[in-house]
Amino acid sequence: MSGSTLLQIDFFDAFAVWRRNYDVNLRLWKAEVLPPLLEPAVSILAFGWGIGSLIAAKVTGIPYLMFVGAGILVVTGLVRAILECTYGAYFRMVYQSTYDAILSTPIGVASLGAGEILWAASKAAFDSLLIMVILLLFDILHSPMSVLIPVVIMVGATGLAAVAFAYTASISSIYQYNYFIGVAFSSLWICGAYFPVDRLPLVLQYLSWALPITSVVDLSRDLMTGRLDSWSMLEAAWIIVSALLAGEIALRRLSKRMYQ
Amino acid sequence: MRISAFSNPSRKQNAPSSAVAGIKVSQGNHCEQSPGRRHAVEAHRLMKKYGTFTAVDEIDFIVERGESFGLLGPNGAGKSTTMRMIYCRTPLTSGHLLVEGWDVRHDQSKIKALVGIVPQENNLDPDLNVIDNLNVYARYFRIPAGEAQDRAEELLDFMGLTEKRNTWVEALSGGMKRRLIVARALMNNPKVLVLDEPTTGLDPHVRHDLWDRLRELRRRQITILLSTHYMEEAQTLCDRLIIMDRGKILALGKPLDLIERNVSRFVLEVHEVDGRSPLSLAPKVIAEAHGATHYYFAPSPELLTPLISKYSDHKSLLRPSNLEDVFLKLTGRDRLD
Repeated sequence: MSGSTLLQIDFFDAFAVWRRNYDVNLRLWKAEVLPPLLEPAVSILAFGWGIGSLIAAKVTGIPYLMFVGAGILVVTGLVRAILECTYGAYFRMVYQSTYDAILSTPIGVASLGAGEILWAASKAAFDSLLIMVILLLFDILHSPMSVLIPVVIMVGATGLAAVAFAYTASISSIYQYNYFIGVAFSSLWICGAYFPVDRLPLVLQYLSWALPITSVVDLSRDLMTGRLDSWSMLEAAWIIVSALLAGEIALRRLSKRMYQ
Repeated sequence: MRISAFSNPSRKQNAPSSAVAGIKVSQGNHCEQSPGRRHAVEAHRLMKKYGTFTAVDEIDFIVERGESFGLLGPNGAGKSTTMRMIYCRTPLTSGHLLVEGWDVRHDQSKIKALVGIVPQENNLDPDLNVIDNLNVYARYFRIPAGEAQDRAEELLDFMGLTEKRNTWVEALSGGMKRRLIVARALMNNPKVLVLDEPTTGLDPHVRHDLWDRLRELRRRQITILLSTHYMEEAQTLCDRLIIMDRGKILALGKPLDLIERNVSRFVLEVHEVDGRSPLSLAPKVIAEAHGATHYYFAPSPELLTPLISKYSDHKSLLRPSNLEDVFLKLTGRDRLD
């Protein structure tokens, strides 16, 4: 294949794919929107009131409830993106043959993949908005820059969704997700969501900062507290670049799978 | 109802007029004018290999515009692969393939805008109801919502599904799902309708019902490409057909011509003749033995009737020869793969 697959995306077509998922979710909103938010809402209470009451000291200069609130906010969105582009996408691709039907129309494979990945990222951003309402009730959102957090989560979720999608396009059995979910969910524990990365052994610190999700957590927390600096800009750049790279890989994998 | 031409900047349509499913379309399809279009499909030395396996082996054929063209062959003959190449889902290994004058290698979105596809497997969207299956599909062709809605209602009426418009797809019977897939394939007002074994697994009532609707489309001059292993289906629906086996074309022509060219017009089947050799007969009668059945082919039934008395203790059947006889002769009657 020559050139970037990303350049083959027709965003009008990608939006048609996005709209298909939106329509389905609108129909199933009771099952799709509220239950998945119960667990993060309770975890904020558990971490903030429960574990947080045991932690008297501030963590990286902020109360633990604020620290962990930012972490849960990001992790909730990212988990949603992972699930959408693993099991959700696999069902549509293999069991429902939805991709086959879509590719029988003028929509190309790059636009199809982009629509799916951006849908997962949109769901992540939407979830983060709802979690932010809960955080607002706890008086955790201190900076007006917090309004940018869903944007950061959406871009970060695009990258992670693309990684998940690349894996989905590469596997032959749904059971192979055990490996991916094991690695992906483990990485969510070392990305600075629940405790500062500098508590980790040095080698894991390097690994953690190499993962774009750590930057998504850190940048979101900085927006929440209003403590942006040049490091934040580097993190933003890394989130964008990694999302583009992952997107390119995902679309190439999908293209290879769908055109044989 | 009269529906005007769809218009959008990138999938502009200015092809000649056509009418499908009772819907008059004043100006053609969702596509650009094709370059020097003469035939619906032109395949030249078309080849598809998967590793060392050759699925389609340098075949040539032409499908004229407005004709019903069949692809017959046993499982694994290369029919579906050929069709997938036509609707741009499988890349060619070598050769040339034009659909409505467009090259499948370079003009995929143009071709896909022109083609309606009824796949072998059901790929309706189970997360949507009947009418939304059509409306959401129309979006992929950038058909404006109002026009899509009108067209969907017309097609549901044409396919006898109006009462099911709000039913979930999973609640439909197998026959209704097939009809909905055909309706969906007509949403973009295609020039070429590709049907890959459309009636496989359907009961006879449903199959005949679907044939009636396909005949109606045929009368409206839409080009139909149909793969099947039901000989009756091919004989009933196709103007011309090719018989394929192991990736190659064994025969091409009109159903009746193929019968006359490959087997005589009448056949006497004699069943349960284990161990006996076929009788030697007049020069114009050709005898074949396959398993426990003898076949006697002749240009007229009179040449065969004397034989019936010679097999008075066996079940026998005198009938006109059909495509199945041609098919079995060309692909081998005793093949079980």
